[in-house]
Amino acid sequence: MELAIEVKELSKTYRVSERSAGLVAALKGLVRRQKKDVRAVRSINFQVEPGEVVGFLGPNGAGKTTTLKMLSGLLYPTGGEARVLGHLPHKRENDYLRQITLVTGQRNQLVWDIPAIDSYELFKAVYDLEPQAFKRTMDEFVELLELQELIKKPVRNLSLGERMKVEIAGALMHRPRVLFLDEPTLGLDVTMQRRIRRFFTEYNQREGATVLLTSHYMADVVALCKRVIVIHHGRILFDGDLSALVQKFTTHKRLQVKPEDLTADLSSYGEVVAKDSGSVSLRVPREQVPRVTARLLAEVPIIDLSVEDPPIEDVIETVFAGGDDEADA
Amino acid sequence: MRRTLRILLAEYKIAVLATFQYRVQMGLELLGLLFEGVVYLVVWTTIARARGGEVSGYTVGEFAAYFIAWTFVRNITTGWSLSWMEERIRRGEFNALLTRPIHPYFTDMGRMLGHKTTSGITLIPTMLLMALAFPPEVTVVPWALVAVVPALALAFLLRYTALYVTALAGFWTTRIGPVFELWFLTEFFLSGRVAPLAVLPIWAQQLASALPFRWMFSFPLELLLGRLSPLQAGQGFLMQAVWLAVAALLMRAIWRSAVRQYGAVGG
Repeated sequence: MELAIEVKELSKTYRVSERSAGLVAALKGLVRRQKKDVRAVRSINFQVEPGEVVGFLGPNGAGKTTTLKMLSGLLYPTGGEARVLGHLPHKRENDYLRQITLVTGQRNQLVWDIPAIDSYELFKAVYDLEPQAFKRTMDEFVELLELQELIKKPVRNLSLGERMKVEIAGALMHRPRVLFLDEPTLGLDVTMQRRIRRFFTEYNQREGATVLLTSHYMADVVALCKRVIVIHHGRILFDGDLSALVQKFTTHKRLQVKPEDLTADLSSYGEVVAKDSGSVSLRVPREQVPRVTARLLAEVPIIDLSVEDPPIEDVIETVFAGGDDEADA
Repeated sequence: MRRTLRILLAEYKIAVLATFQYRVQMGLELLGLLFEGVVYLVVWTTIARARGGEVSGYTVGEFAAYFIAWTFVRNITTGWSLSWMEERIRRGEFNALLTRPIHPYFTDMGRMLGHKTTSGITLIPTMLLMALAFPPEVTVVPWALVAVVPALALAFLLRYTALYVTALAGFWTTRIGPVFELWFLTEFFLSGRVAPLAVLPIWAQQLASALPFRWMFSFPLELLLGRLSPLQAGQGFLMQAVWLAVAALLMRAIWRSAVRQYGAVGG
């Protein structure tokens, strides 16, 4: 089967002007401008199968959005090649653009001053949608995202979360085969984030669409992606299953212990990282977990004990820290 | 082509709907347009009266006719300002348009035409009021009234396309304010905007005819007022066609490399 996304040695370098602060530096800049090359993406390689949902993780400035923009045809690569659905994105062929969508947290496809339903009619013309298919899709999205009243109000009168929902419905109205989601839940409350995640999950299952998602909310990644690609300083640090990422980068596990006597000193079993009214959280090296657990059960009267992986945010932080060391080296 | 026309029509409808949301803005824009025309009209009729009722073949009534028709032609040929395009490039607002399977040139054209229609609704009664205040002297030439329709369409297309091509400079320089100033100043004098071209020195008239600006504005205006012979009208159409072809070819040649420069900042 043809790959949905194939990226080979893809690079992007921005040439940016820079100067020191102050009037003198500004005047110098008039005569001789200092230019600097910023390598946002450095020869990255990855492949995505049709229907796969992949999380693209990295700190701010890692190169995630630049990669997504190259894949959606907005940016021209400096080097290497990207193919999506067999197309070269930078050529921005109509046949290609009809099959993809780029959803960003700051997305503004809808016309601000009129109800979203009018903009949807415009998308119908732009994407050449059959009237019946368009109506079916719109009805489906309206129901899934509970947009009944929202699409009749001018977009400017909607709250951020409401606007994001109508924007997402608009972005998917042409039923794209590949979704580039760049922080789609940015700034939304937890309930709205959950609803939008559920919507993308259903869309992926119904349409078999390929999804490449960037998000700083790990809940998005955990809920939607089995596989993650971690990028830092423009380089890929990890590409594989989310569970494998945890395995590879976690050196410790957490033991949640509920002792009968809360005053008991458990520091000899591991590093006490948290202690509240009912339980103690211990950080224990992964390989010592079976032994420490057995010791605890044998030596301390315990009401409850559980072994957990550290929060995914902590794992990602460890990966990024490793990336920083590599970049510094 | 049919698909492009369908999209153009859909964009047109959207622009009409959006403009209706801001009736006050619509009125103010029109007022600005009228104010400019009325200022020139007052200045030139005053000069004509001071010079015994005529300047370079234009009587007081013909100046009135010129600037009343000016208001109409200006509404039709107005295009997006270059500073607006600059903002879009600088802030990454082209992102949404560039991910759609249609060239932004057509999207913007549909919006522009929709905007004109709504301002046109209030334009006609205002022109009638102007005619009451400044009685025009008009020579009705039936064939010219027919010919002015394609002349206006070509003038709009030429100005719109030429502005679009010029604005592409923004993909390289980001700031195109100075380009806009240069364009505006040249057009101001050589398109017939500040005065009929007939009142300019001969060398300036020749320059105006060699550059595209006359064919974007003054030509349909002169045609509407019945001041051109059929031969001059034919030459005018030819010049419009030539400059439009030049602008379209430049657009085609530059667009792809312009978009390559795009930084796509923001969302």
